[in-house]
Amino acid sequence: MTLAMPLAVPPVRAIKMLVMPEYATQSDATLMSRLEALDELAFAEIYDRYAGLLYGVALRVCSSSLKAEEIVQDTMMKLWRNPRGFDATRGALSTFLLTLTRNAAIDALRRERPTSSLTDEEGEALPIPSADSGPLERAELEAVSVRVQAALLGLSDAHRRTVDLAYFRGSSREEIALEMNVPVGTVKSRLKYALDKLRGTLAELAGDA
Amino acid sequence: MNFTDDQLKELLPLVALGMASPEELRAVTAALEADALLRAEYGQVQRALNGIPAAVAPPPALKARLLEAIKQPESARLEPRPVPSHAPRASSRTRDVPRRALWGGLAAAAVIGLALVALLPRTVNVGSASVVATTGDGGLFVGTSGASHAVLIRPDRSRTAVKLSANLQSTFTDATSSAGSSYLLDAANQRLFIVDERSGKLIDAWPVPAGAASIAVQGNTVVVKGAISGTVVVFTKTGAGEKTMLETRVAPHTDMAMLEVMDQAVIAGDLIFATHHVTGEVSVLDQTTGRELRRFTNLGKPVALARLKTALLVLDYAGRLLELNPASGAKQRSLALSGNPDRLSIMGDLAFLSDRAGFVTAVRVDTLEVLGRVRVNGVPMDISPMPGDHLAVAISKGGVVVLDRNLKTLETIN
Repeated sequence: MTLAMPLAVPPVRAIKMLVMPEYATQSDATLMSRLEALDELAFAEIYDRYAGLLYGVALRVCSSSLKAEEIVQDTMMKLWRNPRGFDATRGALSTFLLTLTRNAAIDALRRERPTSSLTDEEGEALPIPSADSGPLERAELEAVSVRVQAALLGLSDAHRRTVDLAYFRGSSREEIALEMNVPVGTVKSRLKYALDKLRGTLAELAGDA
Repeated sequence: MNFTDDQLKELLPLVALGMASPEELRAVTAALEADALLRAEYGQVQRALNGIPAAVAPPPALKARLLEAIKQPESARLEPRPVPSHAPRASSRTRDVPRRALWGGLAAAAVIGLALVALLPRTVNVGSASVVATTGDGGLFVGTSGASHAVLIRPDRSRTAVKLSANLQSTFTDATSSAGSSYLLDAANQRLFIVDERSGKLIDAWPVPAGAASIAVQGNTVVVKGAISGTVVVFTKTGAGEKTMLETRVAPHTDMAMLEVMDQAVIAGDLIFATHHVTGEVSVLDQTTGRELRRFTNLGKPVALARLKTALLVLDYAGRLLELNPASGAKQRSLALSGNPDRLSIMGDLAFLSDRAGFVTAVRVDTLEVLGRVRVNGVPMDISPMPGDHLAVAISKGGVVVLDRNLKTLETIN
């Protein structure tokens, strides 16, 4: 008698196991193909993969949970409305979403920089080799984040501040130079030095693989 | 200008960060097209930049809202247009592109699903009430959690239902009225609905922080306290449909069940007083700048407050009514109360408290003496002072009960 109910009604966990892995193990490219076919589960999976990162950057830039939510929401809706706005031959999905989010957040912060829009023709497309964004890439992205965060802490205050102003404030070279009281050339060289250091930690990561 | 290889490499971070000039961008683009090694190096720069922001878990409601939003007609697909929006671009300060209004985004419109206003038949029942506010004409504005409409009850007790478009089942946490508009806070959908009391039409819906628990309105200023977000948001109306927003963090983000979403903010002159029950504190903020000026601590679980002429009353959910010096926060007096009162409303010389255990209590403000305590039939969720020294009590599954100052039931509105 006690076994009858469990057999008749599969536990919820078992049902999830049948459905969810299909999406959780798919590459970003596959999910984007499904997204084009209006697959809501693919959209949910992409959200699960990148929402934390997008919310993190928006929150850091705006210092407002409300604005950060709005920006992430806006970014994800852009992806839903126009999935072909993402071109896998030009970069990873994470880069695409982060760029949209960061631009929108800086726009909201500064009120002078136009928001990156799927309908704006801006700049020339760069032939950047595609970095496929499957689940391995997501795991790698997390590893990259850990390494880069650690590497940032290893930078001097001046280098870290320069990166912060450029990445999270969207400041120009001239603005950073003025704020830090250094020549513009120093800003460029500090950014180059800092990014080289960050890239160096990722080279180690590649070596781990 | 021709760039050397070293100069091009130095430009890669600037290009990836959107800091390059148009000339630099053109040069780097051309170089990348011709140089596979430089392309690989650019890819590494982008990969490193992707690691700079730390992930932060967004509020769970955001995913639910998005999944609902993509089902809406407004989220229909655009014609496919490949756009290189994730390609690097020249520093945008060199161009003159109109800025999209932050508040007017397509996605926001899709999610909010505004302007779906319908006047339903005038015979509208109020079977259950979660929040209640007294309108400018002496009527009532009632919100029922789970319902898709609010109800305006006129002084003659005729009713108008105002349809509210929301994606999730609503959880109304507060309502108020000011200058002919009723305000209704929906914590589940993180929306503040604004209704024109004369026409009964929904005129706006604003995004509010997670766990929005309380709303206060004074002139063009609207203050919302987020219990989950740990923030106080000050909206200032600057024109027709336009507003500015300041959000100030007074406590860490704390996930909690909707039932625990309790806090209150009040506007008093140039100051805002806001409780944060999770940390047991009351913050005092400058209304104009949003800056936190002072913080009063060790207040138990403060969930409601009222600014009197010479004192600040703070309601501790653990069962205390505290009288503080509004400038220093020093405790002047304390009244022990039964149960767990969670609402506080001032009417003249009386303070009324309600407790979800079923009680409404009247306290004399000047002496902090309990004058009476009455059990109502149901769960009182909200209270609002009415003209004539009456008190409206929103009762879950019990409509709105109107009491007089002696806590005698005058009317039940279902």
